[in-house]
Amino acid sequence: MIEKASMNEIMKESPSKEETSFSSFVVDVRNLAKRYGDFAAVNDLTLQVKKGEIFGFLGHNGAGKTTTINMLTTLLEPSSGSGKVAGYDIINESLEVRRRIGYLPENVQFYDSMTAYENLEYFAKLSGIKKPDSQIWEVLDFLDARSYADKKISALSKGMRQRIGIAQAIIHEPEILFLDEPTTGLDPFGVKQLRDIILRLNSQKGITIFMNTHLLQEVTKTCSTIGVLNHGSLIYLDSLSNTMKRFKDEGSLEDIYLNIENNEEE
Amino acid sequence: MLSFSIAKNEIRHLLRERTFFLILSVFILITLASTYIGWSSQHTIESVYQESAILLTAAGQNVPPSPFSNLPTLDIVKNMIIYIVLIGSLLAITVGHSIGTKDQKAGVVRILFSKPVTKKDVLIGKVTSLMLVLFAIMIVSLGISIASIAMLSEIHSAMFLQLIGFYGISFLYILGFGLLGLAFGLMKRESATALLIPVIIWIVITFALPEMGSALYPTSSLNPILPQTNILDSPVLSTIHNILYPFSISEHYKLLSSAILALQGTESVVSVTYSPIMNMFILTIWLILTLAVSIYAMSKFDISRGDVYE
Amino acid sequence: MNNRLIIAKKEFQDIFRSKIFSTILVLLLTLTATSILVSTFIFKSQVSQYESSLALLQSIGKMPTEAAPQLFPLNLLRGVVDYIEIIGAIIGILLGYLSIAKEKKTKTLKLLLSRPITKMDITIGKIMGHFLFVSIMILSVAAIILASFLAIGGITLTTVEYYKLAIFVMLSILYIMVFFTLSFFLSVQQKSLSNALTICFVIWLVFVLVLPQIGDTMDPDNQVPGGFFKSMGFDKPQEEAVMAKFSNYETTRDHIEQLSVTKHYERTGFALFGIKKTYNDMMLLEILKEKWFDIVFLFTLFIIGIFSDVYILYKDKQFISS
Repeated sequence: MIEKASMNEIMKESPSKEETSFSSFVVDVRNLAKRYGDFAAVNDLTLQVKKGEIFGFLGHNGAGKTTTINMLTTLLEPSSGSGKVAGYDIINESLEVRRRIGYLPENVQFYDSMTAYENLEYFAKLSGIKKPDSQIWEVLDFLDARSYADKKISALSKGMRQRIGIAQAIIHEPEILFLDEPTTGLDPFGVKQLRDIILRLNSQKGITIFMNTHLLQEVTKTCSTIGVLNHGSLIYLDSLSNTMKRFKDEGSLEDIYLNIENNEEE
Repeated sequence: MLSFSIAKNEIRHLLRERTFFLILSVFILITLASTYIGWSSQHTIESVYQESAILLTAAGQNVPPSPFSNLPTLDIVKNMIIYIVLIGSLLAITVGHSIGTKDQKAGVVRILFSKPVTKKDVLIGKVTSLMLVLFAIMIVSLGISIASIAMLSEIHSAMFLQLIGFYGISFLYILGFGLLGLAFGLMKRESATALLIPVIIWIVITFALPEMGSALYPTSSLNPILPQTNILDSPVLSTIHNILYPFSISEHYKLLSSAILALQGTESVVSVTYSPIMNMFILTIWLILTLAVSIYAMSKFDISRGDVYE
Repeated sequence: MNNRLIIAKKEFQDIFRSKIFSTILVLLLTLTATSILVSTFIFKSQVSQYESSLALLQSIGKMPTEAAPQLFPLNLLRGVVDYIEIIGAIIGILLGYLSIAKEKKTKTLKLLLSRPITKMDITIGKIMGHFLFVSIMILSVAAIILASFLAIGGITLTTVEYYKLAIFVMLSILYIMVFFTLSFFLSVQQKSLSNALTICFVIWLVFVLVLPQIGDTMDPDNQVPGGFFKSMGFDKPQEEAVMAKFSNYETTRDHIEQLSVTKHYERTGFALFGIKKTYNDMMLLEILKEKWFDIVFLFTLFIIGIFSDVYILYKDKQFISS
């Protein structure tokens, strides 16, 4: 019952409001919703992510995380609400948004018959880079993946493919990088490497990261801000440091996270 | 510019597919065979005529003039019309299907559209690559036809123009099928269905409409020499013919092609003959319609679609 | 046996879950009905043509030289044979492809084989289920044929004609199943499913459309609309006398046609339905005697198909391990 009490407390708590100028939000959405008939995949979502943050978007399977990312990356038009990503409207200025974002879908795939280099070259050109050769090598070096360049995608392991996936997402130096369940299917070593890459992208290249995950540890180890989505609604939003202050040990936080579903159903 | 990158990528992908080469080689073999078969049967029937003439003279009967005496030289490519209707259009459907389903099969739809490209860029890229590939195939086929005619008989400059005209019309005809392959490739989530629907449309256009509208048996429509029917005598059939004939695109293509190649004996079958301009007009409508279907398919295309594709 | 029946039943049910087949079945049935209708109108116009020329002849006091056109209802079925040739083969190919594709995509073959059943059971079960479906499909075509006959003027068939129709039904099932076993084989054998499907379509193109067409194109009689020999005013013995000199050419033409399973099916079908008029006066047994090779050819291909399917599933490694 203790969990339940604290849960209610959290839900009443409003997100910490710090004084920030409007332009420093890379993601700024108001009352965003996506409905399929009677079913609301995402419900009345209002959310801001500041420049330079690593935002962890936490939720169980089917909570609406991917639908949210789809709307933020302009792949899906919201049923209602509005939003800006990298300063541009996600509905009316989708191309401007796309110029400034990178996106790594869950279980990233590529054209099998082409090499890693050819895939990167293609996507770089679509991002508007006319002669992408030097950028490709630079990004591959950054990701320590130079040796994959001439390999056919079908010959790459899951972890290698993931790096090429990140490479295509950052080659045009986006302001914000959307990662959808990036750790799915990776072994512990791969997860560790990915975490390092994310942190380096953030600190060295200054890219804001928006990361979907259903794993709490990922968030606590990498992110600077946490949002929790449940049944399409945002039920928690705060910085990691505040969260850690509120929940002294990670165990209690995990208990709460695991109990979200049960609470909702009651 | 973006469309150009997309078109280039489509073509590169196609060239790496074995199946594309399989169908392409079938088509090229058929082009070769068609000229040879045309030539060999033309020779044989002339001998058959001479034998018949001997027989008739021996029996003291009148020898009618040879129906083959003034065959145009291009008569030996007349089978190509049928092969375009059969193989060319199916080849185009496969190419269009491959281009339309490529991104979904590779599972890159979301990555693709997270780049600053519009659906319009992608569609233009895909249609351009489809046109380039089909155009290249027609050029190869034209080359083979010219070479084999030059080898088997004489070729004149006027024939070049006729052949170019014929392959030009053929290009338009199969492009329509290619666009259908592309459109249903975008619309359907299952590869087999996406391929089957254009094939069904192809069956209807190639076999069903000529049968219902002009009373041609399905396998007779495969014959370059159309059999004579007597639909004029049946008021019901004439009425059906008048209604369906405008939609029978394969018949318009065949008639227009044989008019361009100046072939004989293919015009006599229908009761309502349209002028070549009308045939051309209907082919143009066919292209516009199939293009409209592609545009519609792209506008309905779900770019947030994940890697679920069968 | 029980296992095979269970598999057969599931295969059969699976077909009905797919929209593809209801669509294509409706297409086949519609085309069957319309083609019979068109043939009927052609026949009616022939009759009225005959009657008007008869009236003309009688008015000038002459006797008719030609006999009145006689209706053998089965003659009206040429279009049906043509459609089953073309669409039936596609159906067979799709059924075979989907039957394997669904296992490959969902990797359920491993699950199947973790039960106490053999690959033999799986192959036979799948073939049985599809045999049943194809039979029902062709029987509904036959039903449409009978219904159309009744609808266009109360035509009823004689007992012999029923037999002929029954034999045609069996041959059609065999013909479609030949393509089923072929595409089953290729779908297992080929690594990539879309390759398998394309190869099947190429085979269909060559054997169903191109080879029979080449045979027709090479037919000298076919080179003139209405027939060359008719335009020369030849009768059958004269025609044969001329063609005897071209026996080599004719044998080549025949061999090209014989390569195609479709032509064997078509020849038997046309003979049974009297599309070639000479067969109208022949006894059923005589027709079968003349066409025994074509019938045996179809049957043999089906048997070879079954054995190849069993063989390839036993031989295959990557399908199971992938």
